[in-house]
Amino acid sequence: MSLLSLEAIDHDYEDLPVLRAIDLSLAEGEHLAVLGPSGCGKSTLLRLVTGLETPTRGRITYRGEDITGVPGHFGFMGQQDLLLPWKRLWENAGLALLLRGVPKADVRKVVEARLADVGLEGFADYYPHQLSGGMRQRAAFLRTSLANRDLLLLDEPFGALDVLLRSQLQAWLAEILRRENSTLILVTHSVEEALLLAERVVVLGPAPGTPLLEEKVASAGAPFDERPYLPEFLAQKKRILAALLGR
Amino acid sequence: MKSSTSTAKHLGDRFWLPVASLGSLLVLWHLVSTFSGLGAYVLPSPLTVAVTLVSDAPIWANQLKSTLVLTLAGFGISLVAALVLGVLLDQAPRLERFLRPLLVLSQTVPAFFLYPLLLIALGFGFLPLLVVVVIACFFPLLVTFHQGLGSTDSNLVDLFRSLGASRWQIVARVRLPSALPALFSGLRITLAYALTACVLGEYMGAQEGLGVYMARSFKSFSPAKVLTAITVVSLLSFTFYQVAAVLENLFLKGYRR
Repeated sequence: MSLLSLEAIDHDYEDLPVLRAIDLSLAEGEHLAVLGPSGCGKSTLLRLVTGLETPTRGRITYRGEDITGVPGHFGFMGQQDLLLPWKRLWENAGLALLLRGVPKADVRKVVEARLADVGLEGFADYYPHQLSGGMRQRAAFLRTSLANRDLLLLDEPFGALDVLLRSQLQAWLAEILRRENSTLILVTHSVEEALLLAERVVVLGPAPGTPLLEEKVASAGAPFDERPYLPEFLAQKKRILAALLGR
Repeated sequence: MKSSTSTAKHLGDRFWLPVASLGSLLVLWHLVSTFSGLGAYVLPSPLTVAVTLVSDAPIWANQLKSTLVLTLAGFGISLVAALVLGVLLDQAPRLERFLRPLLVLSQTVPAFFLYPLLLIALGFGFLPLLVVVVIACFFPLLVTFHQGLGSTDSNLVDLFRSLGASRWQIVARVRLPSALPALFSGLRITLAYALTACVLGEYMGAQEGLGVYMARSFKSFSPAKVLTAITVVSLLSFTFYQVAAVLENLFLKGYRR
């Protein structure tokens, strides 16, 4: 049984078709990247999975349960870290647990036990404005991971960062994913990022977004640092770019 | 070395520059009073006002109590009412659309002009003054608070919804904290409104209060006493502003970006 399934999803904003004929299923521990041009509905796809929006047609199941239009199962991480400026790091990271009514002392313990995993040991009591951009993104990642460790939904998570920091955090995320065996849906406009972090790539066409291409990442098994230089990586990048550009 | 120099400069800027500007005002006032030919009868020197401030202290201190109680009571009632109605308007857009014209209209009516009508309706005493202070504070507080709630980042609300937060969890944990900076800026200004409305009301007709002290000073043709009353009101207003600033720093400790 797949962990998550999107079955025959169509979605409209009023009369504007946004997504058409989306059929996707995700196995436990799989890392899927969704690529596509701006406005093709990639982010909407994640909003449908989180339950923030209900698809016009079709259904979404998680571990066999119909969760269409029902929020509260997963957290998501976007370009903005969305840390609450008035809360300390541990309260931000443990937000999902606090909302579920877990006592503060227990939440703090859970968060502190995970801080080292994201390189933020010793920063539990810091406010977001006291942290660097990279640290804030890692705190946002921990918040997403503590909401549901089984399935991570990341929407252009490093899109607002500079190239160097972005590349450092990509390496860091790849290591975390390898270590924790989490399932991932990554929405990105960067072909390179998709090929570095995912094992399978789905390319959506221009609006209304519909799958144009679905491929396994040929270089997925290779060491992270070597991947961008492998011939299969470069060939796949070229092929996906051509699909995106409609060639 | 460089950092201690810049700290000293920073302290100088924060402390000595305001002191210097207030000192310049007092010197200018003294010079105009002494050399303009207006005479102490029209414009007494700051020194004369300072002496009156001390000699009249038992009188104005007695009046201050009433003004202080009325101002703070009126402000407190407005604050609670603005917080409750602000949240209701934020959560019920149809109610907000229904009340919007009345709120805009209310902003255009100076509260203290209603005071004579309130005197007729409610009689002489504490109540009409309290109503004027409440009216003067309520709408600015409501408007700033409601705008603050409306400025909440919709992405934050989406994040909370995706995590399964209830409607009231979103109000309490996102919308209210997001509105606090706007509420505090409204609060600082509104405290000054509250005091002005109270003193003006007392001036127009009351049994006690700083406004009554001011009216009596006018009637006794004593500019030194009038300026003393103005000084006391200004100092009180300044104190309110500073207390609000301290509370703001306390409540918005983590808000710096």
